[in-house]
Amino acid sequence: MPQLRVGEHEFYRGAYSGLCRALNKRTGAVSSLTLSYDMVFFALVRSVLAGDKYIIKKKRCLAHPLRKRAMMMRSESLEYTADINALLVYHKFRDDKNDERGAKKAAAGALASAFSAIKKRVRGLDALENEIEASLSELAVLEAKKRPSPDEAAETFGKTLAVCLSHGLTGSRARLAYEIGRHTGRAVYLADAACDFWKDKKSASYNPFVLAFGGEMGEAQERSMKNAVLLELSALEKTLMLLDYTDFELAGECIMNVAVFGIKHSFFSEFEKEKANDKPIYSARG
Amino acid sequence: MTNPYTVLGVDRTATDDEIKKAYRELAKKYHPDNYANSPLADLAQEKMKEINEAYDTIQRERAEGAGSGGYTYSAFAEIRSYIEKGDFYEAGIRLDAARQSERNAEWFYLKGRVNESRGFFFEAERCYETACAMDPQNHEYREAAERLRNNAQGFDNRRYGGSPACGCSVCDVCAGIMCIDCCCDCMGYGC
Repeated sequence: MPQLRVGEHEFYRGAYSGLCRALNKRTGAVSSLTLSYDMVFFALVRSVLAGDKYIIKKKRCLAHPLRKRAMMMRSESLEYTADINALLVYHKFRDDKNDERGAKKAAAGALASAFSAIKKRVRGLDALENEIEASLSELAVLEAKKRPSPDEAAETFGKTLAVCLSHGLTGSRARLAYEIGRHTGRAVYLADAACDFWKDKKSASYNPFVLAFGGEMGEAQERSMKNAVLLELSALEKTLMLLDYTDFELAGECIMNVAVFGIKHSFFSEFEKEKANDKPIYSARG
Repeated sequence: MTNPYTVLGVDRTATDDEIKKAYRELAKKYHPDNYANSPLADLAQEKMKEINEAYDTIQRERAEGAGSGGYTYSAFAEIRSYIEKGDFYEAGIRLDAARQSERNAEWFYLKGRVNESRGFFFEAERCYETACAMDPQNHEYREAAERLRNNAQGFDNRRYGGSPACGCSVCDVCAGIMCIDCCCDCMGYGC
């Protein structure tokens, strides 16, 4: 550990391609453009939780017609993840439409209505969608109140992923799924909010870190934001360690790698980039 | 909130011996044997429990030598006992009910504990830091703050094992990845 070895890397790409194909089939070609590695992580965790065995084969696909490559074959978890992706993407564009201005608002509006149609192909998840709506509207309330609490805001997003990951599972698997989803959602939200600190401060958009620090940013604040993300990831790791990876060894390695190192690494590099962007290249006096 | 010194009927300046003596007397008085056949046995048991808790609280508090003053420290003894029992929910409600003027270093420390139990690490760290700033001499508060910092640091220090598969955006849905992936592959630079 903890490097993704060649086998694991190929496996991860196989899961990516498999999910891409599931998106194509379930919700159409447009939705496959919204595929992210986050959802691959979701699909892998869901497979392990549901005990959903996968088969990997060498296949050609639309995006890679030139050579055959590893692809995870159809499974319930992949299809479920594809459906969840459509729901989450729809809600994301709908929120963007409300938050953004100008051209971005128009683009988000168009995408939201496109995905509203795509989403209709998803069946049997109405109750879940109501739960997603409920936790995202909790976030909207916090935003409206300008609540200066990163934890409370992150919790709403954590709840969203928690209900998505645990839906349809029972007993201890459901409990584990809920906690894994919750920590993942929280970590992603906190990392996102920390990276957007400068941007949101400038545009006066809702960002609980900006509000909690009264717009101040220094070494202590930076440390505090990073610690919040690191502690969340550490909690996620502890929860993931409780999963049973028998027969899912490769998936297990990938899951731990992404959760423990992948998210942390991309957070740190994104954070440094945003921080550097904020510094003026030169300053004029006068 | 019951003051443990009031429960034992002693002044907070009482010596350890005086406290022990008061405790023994009360324990003898409310001992379950005395109420063996009484319909009020349960009430006596309650009373006994209260006495034991008060004695334990004072003992613990004195053993730790913590706090800037006896009574201030034990002002939240009841809430502490909820936390020790793992009833963070009740502890949280009681903490929130405390008036602003009562919110001393211990209050922030306990609030930190409640936040930590909910996984609200950001708030927990801030609470511990506030507690430390208000009472810099207190070991308990400092330890809690350090423990959290060390956890974060320990996780951060783990060796990174990145790979292109992990280099994803943590943030948004990334439509570009597939195109980039495709280009890399088509040009023979399978990444």
